[in-house]
Amino acid sequence: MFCRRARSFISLALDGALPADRTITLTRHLEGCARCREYQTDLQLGRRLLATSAPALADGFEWRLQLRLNRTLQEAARAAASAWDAPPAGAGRWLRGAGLAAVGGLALAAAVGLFLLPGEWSVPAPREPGVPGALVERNAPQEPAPASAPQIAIVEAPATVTSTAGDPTRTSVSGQSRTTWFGREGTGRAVDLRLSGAPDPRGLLERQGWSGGSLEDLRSIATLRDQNRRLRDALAQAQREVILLRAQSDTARGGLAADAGGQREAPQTR
Amino acid sequence: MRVSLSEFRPPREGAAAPALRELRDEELIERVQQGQRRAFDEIVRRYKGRLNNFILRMVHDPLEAEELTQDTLIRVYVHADKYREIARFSTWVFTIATNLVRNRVRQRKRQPTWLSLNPAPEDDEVPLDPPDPRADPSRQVEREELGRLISHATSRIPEKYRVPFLLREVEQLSYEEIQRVTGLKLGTVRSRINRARARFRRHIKPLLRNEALLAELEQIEARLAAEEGSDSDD
Repeated sequence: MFCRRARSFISLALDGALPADRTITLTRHLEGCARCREYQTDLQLGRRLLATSAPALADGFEWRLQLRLNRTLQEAARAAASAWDAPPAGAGRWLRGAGLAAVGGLALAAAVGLFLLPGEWSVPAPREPGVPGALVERNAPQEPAPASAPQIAIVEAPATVTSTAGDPTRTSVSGQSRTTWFGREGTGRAVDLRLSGAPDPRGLLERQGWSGGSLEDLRSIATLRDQNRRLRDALAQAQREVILLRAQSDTARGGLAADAGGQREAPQTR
Repeated sequence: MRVSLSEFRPPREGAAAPALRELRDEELIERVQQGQRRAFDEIVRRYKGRLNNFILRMVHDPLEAEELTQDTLIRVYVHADKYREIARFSTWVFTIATNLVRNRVRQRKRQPTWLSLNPAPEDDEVPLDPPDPRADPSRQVEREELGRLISHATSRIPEKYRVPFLLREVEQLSYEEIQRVTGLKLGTVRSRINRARARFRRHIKPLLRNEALLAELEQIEARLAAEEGSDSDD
């Protein structure tokens, strides 16, 4: 037997993994090979050295572990709650931009209509200057009844913008309703994104007795994450509907332009 | 399960109920899954030293080793419900630790060394621990010096050999368990351990011929045996 093979057998024998027949072969080899015997002794010594040189943990390890564990659980809970509150990155801006284009188109059509077809395109909502902070009065339909699954409803209605301070878009958030108004002062339309059927995460935490440090709290986090995911799905659906609105406004604008062209050409043909 | 923050206190040494001490690891994690916080404390007591021993020999930085040891134990707690008794609990724990160590080593290779300018943690966050009256400073120095030499020898073993070698020599996992932890084939595990042993022997050979150190080794072993005996009497 070669020493190289014998040494791999020594390694296996050290772990008690060498079969009996090979153990006999190794024993015979070791009887006649001083270098392999030394190798075997060295491996055994090395193992003892590793066992006795185990590094000691610094004092206070358990305390530091507890602090980190608490922080980890609390951060996980906070992340779940804040993810519920905030829309996905860029989504709000995208939605506002798309909505602006859609309703801007409608507003343009209405403005042209005011000049060309008075009475048909006027925006009837009255101004109420006595309401502090009110930018717009909306003639919106009633909020739909809350469904079991969270939903975002797009409610579009004619509106009068009382003050935009030079900014054609204004967003305000109150409760669970995110409302965006578009248009120049005195005319415009409102798009109201209404959230329904989603429980307030703070209420959920209060109901389940948030302690910040247990597996049950993690289950609450999982529930919140699930609701957050469903809300995101609902938001994506709302974004698709905004695209549809924009397409409709483009069509309306095209039809309006065609009508205007026809009216200008009519006297010539006469 | 309801565990308030006020209950989050580290266990005193030897404070675990005798019933928990007698349980197997797999039974303990089952209790953690059922929400028994004390069972997790017992797991920490059993594994903190073993994990730190393994991780420190991989990363060679005591602070980083402690951080990774804590990361491993935190993951054990947070993901306790994912453990299924198809493998031994120790295999699961060391799989987590090995993955964390590998990620850290990879990150370290990609990033240059930097110095943190962040302030130290608040003083009131780190409670003072009274020193262990049984600790003897001279023993500590002996063990630290020996540990430094062994750590240096271990660090010279290539990482791919070092992981199975330490899992076998330090953690005494079986070949099959090492196979599960590392994802290597059984034959590869055997040959890597064999090669690592040969390299380790080459690096510590000067120590092995040092009579004074060998005498010291025997003294340390005798002390450790005596300490273990007194611990079991408690």
